[in-house]
Amino acid sequence: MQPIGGARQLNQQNFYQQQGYGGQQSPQSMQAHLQEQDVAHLILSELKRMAREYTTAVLEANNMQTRQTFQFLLQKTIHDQGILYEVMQQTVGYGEIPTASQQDIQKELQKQSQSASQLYGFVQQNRFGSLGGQNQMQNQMQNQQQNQNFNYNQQPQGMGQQQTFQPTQSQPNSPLFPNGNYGPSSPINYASPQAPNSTKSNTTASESSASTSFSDNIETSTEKAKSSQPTNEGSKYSF
Amino acid sequence: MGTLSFSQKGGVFRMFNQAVTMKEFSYISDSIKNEEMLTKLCAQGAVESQNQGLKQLFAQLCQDHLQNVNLLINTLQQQSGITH
Repeated sequence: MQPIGGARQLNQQNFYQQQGYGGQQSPQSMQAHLQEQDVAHLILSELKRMAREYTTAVLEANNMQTRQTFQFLLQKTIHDQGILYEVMQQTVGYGEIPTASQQDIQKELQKQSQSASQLYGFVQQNRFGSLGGQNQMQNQMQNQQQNQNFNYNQQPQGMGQQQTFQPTQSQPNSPLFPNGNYGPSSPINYASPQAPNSTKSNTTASESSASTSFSDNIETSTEKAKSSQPTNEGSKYSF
Repeated sequence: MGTLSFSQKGGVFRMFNQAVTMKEFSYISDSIKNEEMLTKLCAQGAVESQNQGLKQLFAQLCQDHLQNVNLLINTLQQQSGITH
C-alpha cells in the first residue's frame, strides 16, 4: 500500500479542489468524505492484489479441489473488483484515465501487422521443414502456395498488407491437411473476407484436427497450431 | 472432475494428483488472512461511508468475503482430513 499512498493523496487533493471544498462544508464532513474515498481505493487495491495472488495460487496448485476453490475465488474477486470500480466511478470518482490516441493505435497496428507477416513466413518455413521427404508432390504444391504468399509479403505497406493476411486466415486449416487436400484444391476459401468469428472457428478446427489426425506428431502439430494463433490475431486486426 | 487428463501418443497422464503441498497450505493460509483483512475493511467502509451506493456495496462485499473465509477454512479442513 505504500507506493500508492502518495498518488492517493494527490488524488484526494485534486478531488478536494474539483469539488470546491473550501470552507463551505464543515471539516468533519470533509474528513468523512476523504476517508470514504480512501477506504474505497484501499479495498479496490486489495481486491486487485488478491486477484493476483489467487491467480498465482491457481497456477501453482497441485490438488484439483484446491485449484477449483482458488479459481472460484479468483472469479469472484475479479467480479467484485469490477463492480466496485464501476460504483466508484459513478460516486466518488476514480480520476481521469487517458485514452489511447487513434494515431498511436494505427502505428502499433502497422507494426504488429508486419510482425505477424514475418511470423507467418516463419511458421510456413518450419511447417515445410517438418514434413520431410514423405510427400514430395504435396511439398511442391505447398511450395507453389508459399511462393504466392511470399509475393504477397513482398508488397509494400498499405493495401498490400491486407492481401498478405488473406492466406493467413485459412492458415490454421492448412498445417496438417489430414485428408491430403493441399494447395488450391483444398476446400478453404482463401479470398473470402472473414469475420472475427470465422477466425476462431478456423483455429478450433485446426486444433481439433491436430489432436485427432496425427497422433505421432501430436506435440509438434499442436505447437504449430498454437504458434499460428498470433498470426490470426494479426490478421484479425488487419481488416 | 477429479483430475484433468490429456491424451498423448495414445497414453493418458494425470495433470494433478490429490496430494496437497505445503505451498498450497501457505496459499490457503495467506488467502484467509487476506480475506479477513478485506472483510474488516469492507465493514469499516460500510460503517463510515456516506454515499448510499458505496455503503450498500461495502456491506455486500463484507458478507461475500466472510463467506470466502468460510470456504477457505472448509477447504483447509477437508485437506487436513485427507492428509491425516
